[in-house]
Amino acid sequence: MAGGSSHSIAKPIALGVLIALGYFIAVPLLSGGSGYVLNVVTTMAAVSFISFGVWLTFAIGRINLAQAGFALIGAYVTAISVAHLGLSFWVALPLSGLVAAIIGGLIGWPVLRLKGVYFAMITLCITEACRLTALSFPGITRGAQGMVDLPLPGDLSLFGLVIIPAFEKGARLPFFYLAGTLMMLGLLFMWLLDTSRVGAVFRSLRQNEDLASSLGINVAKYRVVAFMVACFYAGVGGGFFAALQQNVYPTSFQVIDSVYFMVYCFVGGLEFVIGPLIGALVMMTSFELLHEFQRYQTVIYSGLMILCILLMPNGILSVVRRRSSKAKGANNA
Amino acid sequence: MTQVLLNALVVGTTYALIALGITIIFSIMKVVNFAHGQLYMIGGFVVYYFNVVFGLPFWFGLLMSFLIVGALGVVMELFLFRPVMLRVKREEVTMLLAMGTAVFLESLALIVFGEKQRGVPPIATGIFELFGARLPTGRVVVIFIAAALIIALMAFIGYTKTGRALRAMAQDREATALQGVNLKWLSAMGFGLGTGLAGLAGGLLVAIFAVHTGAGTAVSIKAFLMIMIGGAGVLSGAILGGFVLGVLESVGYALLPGSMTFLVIFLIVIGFLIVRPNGIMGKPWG
Amino acid sequence: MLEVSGLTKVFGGLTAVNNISFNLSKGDILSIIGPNGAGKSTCFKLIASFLTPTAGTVRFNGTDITGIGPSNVALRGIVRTFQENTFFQDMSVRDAILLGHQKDCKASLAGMIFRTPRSRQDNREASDYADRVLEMMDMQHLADTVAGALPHGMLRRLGIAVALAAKPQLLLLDEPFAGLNSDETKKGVDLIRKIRDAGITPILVEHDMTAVMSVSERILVVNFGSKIAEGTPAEIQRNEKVIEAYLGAEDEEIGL
Ligand SMILES: Nc1ncnc2c1ncn2[C@@H]1O[C@H](COP(=O)(O)OP(=O)(O)OP(=O)(O)O)[C@@H](O)[C@H]1O
Ligand SMILES: [Mg+2]
Repeated sequence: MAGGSSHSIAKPIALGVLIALGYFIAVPLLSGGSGYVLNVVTTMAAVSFISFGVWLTFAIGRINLAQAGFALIGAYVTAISVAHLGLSFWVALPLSGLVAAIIGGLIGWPVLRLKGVYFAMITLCITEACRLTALSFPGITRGAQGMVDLPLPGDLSLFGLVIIPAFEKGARLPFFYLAGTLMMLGLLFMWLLDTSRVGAVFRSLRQNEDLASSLGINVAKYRVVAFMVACFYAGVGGGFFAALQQNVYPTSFQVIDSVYFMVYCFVGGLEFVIGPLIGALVMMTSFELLHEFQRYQTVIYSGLMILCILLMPNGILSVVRRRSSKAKGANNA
Repeated sequence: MTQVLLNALVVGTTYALIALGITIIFSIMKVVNFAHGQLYMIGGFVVYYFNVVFGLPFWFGLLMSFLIVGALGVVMELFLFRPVMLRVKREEVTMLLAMGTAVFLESLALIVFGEKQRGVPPIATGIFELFGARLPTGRVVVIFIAAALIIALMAFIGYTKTGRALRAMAQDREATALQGVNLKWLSAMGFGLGTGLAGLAGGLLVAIFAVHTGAGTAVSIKAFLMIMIGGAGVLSGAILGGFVLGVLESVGYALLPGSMTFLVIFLIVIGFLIVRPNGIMGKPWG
Repeated sequence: MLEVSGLTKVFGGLTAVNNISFNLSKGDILSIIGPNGAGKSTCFKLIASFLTPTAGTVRFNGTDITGIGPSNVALRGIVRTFQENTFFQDMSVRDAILLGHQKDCKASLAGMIFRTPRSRQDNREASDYADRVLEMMDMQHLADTVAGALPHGMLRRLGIAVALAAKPQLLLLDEPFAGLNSDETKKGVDLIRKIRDAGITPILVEHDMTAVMSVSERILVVNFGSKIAEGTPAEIQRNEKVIEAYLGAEDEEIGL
């Protein structure tokens, strides 16, 4: 697995492209112009994009609750770039990921030496620290008032050729396509990474860092790389939400969001790259379906979450896999 | 400055209660109770209901906050953590379970208790003066109750049979089971004791600060800061962590603008953990 | 190839390793023996840079490698195994062995992720080498078994296989025969000779005296952190101090 699969990547990618095309065509058609459905699907796609990063830190054996903090950093970088610095959104978005990754690298280098609950608690503190930073420097971030009325993404053109037209006010489809594209690219990269040698090294770190380092693997370097990639995802995702909602507040991403990103990974299943996507799909759909319970929505939702963990502690996909392998066994017999 | 240190003493003693609770749970179950702050919040509301709504004395409300929140902990251990821990070994799962419980308790509390901030009438009147610093007598009473509770708890754990069994279990579950101790009840009780302490702390502090349903997360974060400073799983570390955070916070609020205090504390703790990953009193991690 | 001089490690008040020096030339099979808690494993950890010595130096092929960190030591050609069974729980035997090749990969991280020709070349080399290691360790039939499902004897073997996969010049084996039956131990002794003949110099820490006496060319005895004797197996068996160190032990126990 560790690397022999290099020639076998063409087929899954072709399949993926087909699914992606189907998604881009079918969802807008099925939603029948309902802004609500498009909104939910857009949010879901962007949230699973951010959750891929949490998944990657799980892969190296770390429980990462800092993801919301880095998403907040990304959101502010995008907001400040487009509002104060007059940068194009299409520059600001990757820049947000980059800034988040660099800050993540600087913080991660020392902090990643911690393990288990210590790492979980410290990353939770990082998320809080990001919120407080946003509150404490109103000169740059406008503090609790937040940055509002951010401009919509303009057009992206290369050599005078318009590649992406400017987003129009009130239009939902452009954001749907952008979120979908991010999600697909994010998943593609995670999958490439997971099936490559680097993925094998990451898994080895989760299982035994000492053994890995005795084999000449620079454990500290790989850990930081994984964490920086995770932060990049958070930063880009945060930047996307800043543009989607056209505002950022210190409370746009907080501890509870970090918890939800983690939940999506779990519910989907930590062994599967696509886990965060499945988890986000299931959890966010059920949250929307519980809408009519109004003030009981969150209670029922969190009760459901606890039930999920009680019944399927290894995630939905692991149950699906067990079922299918059982069915196969039955067929062979 | 005396004023600041007195304030630090008030928050420090109650914080120590919170940290002791989370530490007891951690040392016997190896679970970080992310719902600790929510249990604290419920403790505050229990006191509010008994004291203000039902008109019963404050001390009775306090007792009930310990019993009710403690019972809640026993239920959590028996029906949530135990079944999951039997099946999965990964610590992420129990951590997530605790987080799910936190969200659940908070949203439930929002329905039951509503959004309003609730407080209780002062438990004592008058002003207490010490070295020129002034402290409402109510706060002095809180310090003494909290200190008495800490001493009682340490005596319980140090000198009673159950306390010794708890300590033995924290060190080595299997060996304790071999000695014929009923682990099932012991660990449920330990969990209940830990959450009961959260309830007590919440009940005590409602006499000083009002409580509202959203207070939990901030308290949990403070609890984590304390055990990271003191060292996870060590009782003396928890008490120390509580006081250190109390001092940092009181000094910070006296010198820095609002949101900066905890930002600075976070930076200090992160820096500190880099130098001492196991906290002041912590044992190295296995 | 290895020069250890004045190696000392103090834990709190306890001196686990006290001023140990020795030299080793390529192809010699050296064993370190001593009672429990003598400091043998600590000595290995110091050489492999899992611990930083309180004093003393470790030189390998002429360069000072003291305290440069475990992965750097491995890059220079020293790989250790662990006293306790240490393995990647969910990884198949073959995948674990393939990881040993990671340090010799020439492609960049991005290259590995995007499957550049360079990285595919790496993978082919890794695959070929893994086959060779599996064959040498006689583990081909277990290639696809997940490590967590292996019995103790095979886990000891897997530990050595994974270490070999990292292509060491010097292989530090910490109690390779611990918990093995006499049959497995005999195979293990043959394996160590085979490893030496393949150009890898092994150092052993071992309690099984029969095995130590038969496989070693030189033996170093430590007690309470200090070196008390060094010599050929025959010399060691006659050494007064050694017999004393194993006080109360019957002569058979040191392999007579
Ligand atoms: N990290 C550590 N911290 C403190 N003391 C340690 C540490 N590691 C080892 N020791 C102590 O150092 C001494 C030597 O330990 P070491 O593991 O090197 O012994 P050993 O010779 O390998 O014994 P054995 O044959 O039982 O494996 C022991 O007394 C041990 O308790
Ligand atoms: Mg040893």
